[in-house]
Amino acid sequence: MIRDDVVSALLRMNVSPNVLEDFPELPGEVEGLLVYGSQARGDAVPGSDLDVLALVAAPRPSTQSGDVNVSYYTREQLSTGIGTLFGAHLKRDAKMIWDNHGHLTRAVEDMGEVDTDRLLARARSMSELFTSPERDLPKYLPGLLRQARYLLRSCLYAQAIADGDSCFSVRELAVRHGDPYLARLLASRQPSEATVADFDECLSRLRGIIGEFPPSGHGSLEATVVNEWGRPSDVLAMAFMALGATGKGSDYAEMEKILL
Amino acid sequence: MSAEIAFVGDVHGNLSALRGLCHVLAARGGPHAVFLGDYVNKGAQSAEVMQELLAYSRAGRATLLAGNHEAALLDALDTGDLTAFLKMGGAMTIRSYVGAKVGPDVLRDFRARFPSEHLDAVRRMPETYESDDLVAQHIPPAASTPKFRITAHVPVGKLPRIGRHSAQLETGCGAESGRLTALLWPSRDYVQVDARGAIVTRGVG
Repeated sequence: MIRDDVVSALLRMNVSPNVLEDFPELPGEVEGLLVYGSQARGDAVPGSDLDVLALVAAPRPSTQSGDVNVSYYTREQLSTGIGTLFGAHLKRDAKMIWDNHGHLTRAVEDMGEVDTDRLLARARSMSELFTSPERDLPKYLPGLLRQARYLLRSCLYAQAIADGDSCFSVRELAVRHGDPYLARLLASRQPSEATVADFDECLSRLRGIIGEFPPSGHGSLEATVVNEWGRPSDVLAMAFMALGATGKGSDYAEMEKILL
Repeated sequence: MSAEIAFVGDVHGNLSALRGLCHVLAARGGPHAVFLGDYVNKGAQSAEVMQELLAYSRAGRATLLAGNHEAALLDALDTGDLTAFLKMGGAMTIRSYVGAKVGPDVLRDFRARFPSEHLDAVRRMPETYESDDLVAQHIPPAASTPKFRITAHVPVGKLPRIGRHSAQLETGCGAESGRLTALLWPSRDYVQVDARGAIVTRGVG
């Protein structure tokens, strides 16, 4: 399937032509393609991104062009989404664009249910990362805010599932919670630089769901990375991502792709 | 004194492999060894590997080139910004030098336990070793040269790649299943040890 066919299919799904102007050429090895997020649910608003997942044989980095995000997953990487929010989200909302061998459809069908109690307990253990702000915020605010947003969004999704009314739209959750600020706080595209105020807003809402955070066993983000290194743990994965993107990406140590 | 030279790929904190390989080389008459960089990170004994290599170097038995992991280490210590080094797996090196659980101020703990002689040595490490017929450096050079090129850095699997014009020696040392490789010049034979330092291969290039 070539780019024009993909774009035509997306136009039939009522994706805005403006967004599709930025749709990139896809590598020839792509075996399947789906849309997820607000464009798949049909509740996109002006400014909403288009989130596309492409199935490939070998791992490759995600791309962003204009408002179009393409994430590449191998079947193995997708299988790590079983039982996660990401998997449940795909299973509920994704719209298949094409699937050469049926592998992508099957991978999405296999995603299974989310254990929300376990997820919230994991989120609580990860939240220790936010308990040494005096030391960490001057240097790592952007990364920590990104992880706080990710954790808050995940906990809100999990809470909705636990309440028997799953929802993967932050705008819808903002309405449900009577908290209009939530939609802006959790928007995937942030118009301005990271602020401590947003960080605090995320944390207070997070505490409302998972309770007080356990104190950090290490006293700083950097110490968490050093002391936890080598034993795979949620808090290490969160800390590593909170370091942000710096230096040469090709030199980075490897971390798993799907977390919660 | 042997006229042979040994070129050694990434060590990455594996002291057993380093000692095992040096033992194998000693049995061949102890050729001068040119290490191609990346002594730290991944394996658990970065500090001990550095200590041992510096001793070889002081004794005139080894030349130590800088790899990108040494460059990141030096940059972290010079600028006081650990972020990029940590993203490369610098935690293993910091733990090795600090020797215990680090406190909240990681940079302070690391600097306090990183010997000045190691810092001086890393600062002095050249990037390239060159003779009439070969050029060796950590990262494969972009510019072409008529000389034989010896590099590491880019993983090539368990066995080195030894061609007519170049050799690549990064065989995964620092990981459980990795090996440490030495290319012997001018024969272009190679020797390898496994992660525990036991000899596994002697091949002809």
